[in-house]
Amino acid sequence: MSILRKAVAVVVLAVSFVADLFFSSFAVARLVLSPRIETHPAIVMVPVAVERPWAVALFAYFTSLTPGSTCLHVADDRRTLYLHVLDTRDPAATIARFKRLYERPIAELER
Amino acid sequence: MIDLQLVAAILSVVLCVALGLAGWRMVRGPSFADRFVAFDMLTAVAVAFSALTAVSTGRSAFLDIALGLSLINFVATAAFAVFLERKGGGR
Amino acid sequence: MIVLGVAMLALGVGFLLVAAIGLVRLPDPFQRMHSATKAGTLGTSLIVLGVLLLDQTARLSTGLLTILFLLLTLPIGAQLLGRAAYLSGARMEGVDDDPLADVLDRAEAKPTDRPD
Repeated sequence: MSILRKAVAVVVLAVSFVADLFFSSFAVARLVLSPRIETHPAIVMVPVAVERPWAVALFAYFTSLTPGSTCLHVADDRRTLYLHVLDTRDPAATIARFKRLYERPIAELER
Repeated sequence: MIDLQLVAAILSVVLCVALGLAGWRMVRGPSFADRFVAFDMLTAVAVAFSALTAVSTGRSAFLDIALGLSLINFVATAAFAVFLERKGGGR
Repeated sequence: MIVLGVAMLALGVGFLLVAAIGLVRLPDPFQRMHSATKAGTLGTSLIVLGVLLLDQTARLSTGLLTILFLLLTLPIGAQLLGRAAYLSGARMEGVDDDPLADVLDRAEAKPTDRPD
C-alpha cells in the first residue's frame, strides 16, 4: 500500500507543479507587461515540517522552480527556508499555499 | 499548410528583440548580479535560437547544440555565483 | 500537430520576450532574476517541445533531455545566484523587514550602485 500512496503523491506533486508553473508564469507576465510596475516583494520565512535532508531539498527545489519565488537560503538546522517572493501582499497566504501545494505530498513521500 | 520556414523567421526576429533587451541590461548593469542574470537570459535565448534553427533548416543536429548550451549554462551560472560570493557586489 | 507545434513555438518566444522586458523594467536584481530565469526557462522548454512536435527527424530523447536538464538546473542556479546576490549586497527594493539579515552576513551596498 505504501508504494501506491507514494505513487499518488508523485502524481499530485507533478500535477500541482505544472499547474502552478503555468499559473504563476502568466501572473509574472501580467505583472511585467502592466503599464506601471507595482510589485510587492518580500523575504518570507517558511517553517519546514519535513525532516530528511532530501525532502527539505525537494521542497526548496519546488519553491525555487515556480516563477515569482526563489529560495535564497536554507537555515543551517534545515528548519526554515528563506524565500524571496516577487509579488505578495499577504506573506501568510503565500506560505500556506506553498505548504499545501508542495510540502504535503513531499511529507507523504517521506513517510 | 503553414510555412514553417516563415514561422521560424518571424519568431527569430521577435527573439532578436529579446536578445537586444537582455544585452542592454548586461551592458547597463548596474551591479554584477544584474549582469549575471542577463547572461543567464542570453544563454536561454541562444538555446531558443538553436532550437528554431533546427525547425527552419530541418537539421535536427541543432537540437543537440541546444542541449550542449543548456549544460554549459548551468556550469557558468554556478561559477558566476561562487565568484560573486567571493568578490562581493559593486561594479 | 503542426498547429499545436507552431502555437507552442509562439508561446515560448512570447515568454522569452516577456522575460527580457521584465529584465529591463523591474527595479532590482532579485526581481529581475525571477523574470529572467523562470519565464525564460519556461519559454525555452516550450520552444524545444514545439520543435519536437514539428520536426519528425528530431530525436525525442535529445529534446526531452534538454527540457529535463533545464528544469533540473534552473532552481539550483537561481538559488546560487540569489544567495550570491544577497551576500554581495545587491540593491533590494520594497522589502520592509528582512529576516535573513540576522542569518547571513550581507555586504554593504556600494554608494555608486545607483538605481536604474
